[in-house]
Amino acid sequence: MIVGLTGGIGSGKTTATQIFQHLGVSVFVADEVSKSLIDKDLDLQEGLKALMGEELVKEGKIDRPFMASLIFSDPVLLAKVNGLIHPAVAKAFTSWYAEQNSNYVIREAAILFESGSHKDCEAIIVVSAPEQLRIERVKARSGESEAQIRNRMSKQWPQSQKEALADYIIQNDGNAMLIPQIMQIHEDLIRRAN
Amino acid sequence: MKEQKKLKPIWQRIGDGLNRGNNRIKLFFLFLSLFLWLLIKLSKGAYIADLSFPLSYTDLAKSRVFTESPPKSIRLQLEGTGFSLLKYRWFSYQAIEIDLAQLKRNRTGEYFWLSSTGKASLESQVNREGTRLIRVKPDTLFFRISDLVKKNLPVELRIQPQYDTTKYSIYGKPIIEPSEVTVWGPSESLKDLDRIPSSKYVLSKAEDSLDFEVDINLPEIEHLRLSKQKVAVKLQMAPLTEGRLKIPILALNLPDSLNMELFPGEIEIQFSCALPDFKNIREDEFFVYADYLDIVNKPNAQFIALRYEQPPAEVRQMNLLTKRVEFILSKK
Repeated sequence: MIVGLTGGIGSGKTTATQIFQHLGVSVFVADEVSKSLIDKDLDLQEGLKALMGEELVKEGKIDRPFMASLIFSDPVLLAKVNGLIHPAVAKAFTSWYAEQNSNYVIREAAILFESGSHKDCEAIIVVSAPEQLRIERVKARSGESEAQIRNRMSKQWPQSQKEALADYIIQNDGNAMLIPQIMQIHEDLIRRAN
Repeated sequence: MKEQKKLKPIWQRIGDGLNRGNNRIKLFFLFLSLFLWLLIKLSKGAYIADLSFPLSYTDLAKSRVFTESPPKSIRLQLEGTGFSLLKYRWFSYQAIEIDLAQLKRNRTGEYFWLSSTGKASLESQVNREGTRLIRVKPDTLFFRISDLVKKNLPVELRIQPQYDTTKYSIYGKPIIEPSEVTVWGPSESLKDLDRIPSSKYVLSKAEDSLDFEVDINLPEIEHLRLSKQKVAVKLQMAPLTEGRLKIPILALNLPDSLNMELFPGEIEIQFSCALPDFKNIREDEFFVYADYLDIVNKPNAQFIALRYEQPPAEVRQMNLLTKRVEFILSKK
């Protein structure tokens, strides 16, 4: 069974997936895989170079700041880049999933809904946190300004929209404990998988 | 009509009485006999009196000083003629000399002088008037005396920053010339003195390098003397920069039979340091930990608070961006 896990930036997806991993659940972290793929998948690199120019690749690796500067203000280009990366990540997931033998696996992605990956999932978990807390968390870890963070947030679905499509919502507001919530979801998912 | 007589005041009437006849001669002899009687009484007989004498001290070694004021007076009980005692009481305030070469020291390090030991000296000073020393009060005099010693002490530079301390900092150790000053003073006072502070130097604006002179702030200790009154200072300043690092959380005091999983397992820290030091700051120099004993002490706690060890010396300020984490304990 494939379970999708998503949440806005700063919601605490990483910590939640760490707890699932501790419970023995295999987790596919789409962002990490996509970062790895653009450096290792030569076909993908060729496609990206065709979109953004030869100077995109330096010493065999993608120049990320350069790529970010190009797609930041060009939604059309962003859509084209996603059109290349998302299928590659989906392909990587398919081959990874074939090797898993746990009751269920988690596919963690910040843009699970936006990329359409949620359609392959039998259950969706949304990690939720108050907006201001999310901004503070991201501000603290990245040093970005509130305006920059809000700009990044605006490119993702609003939390309420994600929550509306969720089977499970994990509250990560800094007060509620994550572990008991995840244990309960875990037990429920095992029941569903069996 | 009868003429009425006016009454004179009483002193006029006494005066008139004394002037009358041989009353004046009688009175003269009365006073003379009283005076002669007094002279005979004062020159004979043994009178006893408690008299207070000021003290002066001699023979204190040059290498020693009083660290507390010594007693200023002593009471002597003297026996002698009335004249000699009256002379001591009214006219003679000759100070009694105490010879400090005779001092002894008790277990607490306090010096003392015993009247029994110094009696001969006291007697020689008061017997000149034909008096005899009976008793000394107090019979023991105590003194706080310390040896004068020399000590080389480092100078502690005191800076009062008025520049923006969130943006700049003193970089490296200031060079102080001379770095040490020689101090002479009572050994008791110097015993606890391990540095000599400078006076506060107001640093109003951040500059790359600064040279200045600063006064030494002489501690308020009596008999203290310094080899230098000023020192020269050279210091460098550097802008501060902020950094972030991801640090794994260590489990502390965890029994061998248990595993403790922390969520998140690593956290970000924020620190500031001088710009030239930034490239030298490494993740492995920071230690953030969760103490298993906190769980033992608070079994119902839902979270475990994070703590950290003193960061490297180059780090001016450090902040954990996550203060507490969740945990799962499991048996190995």
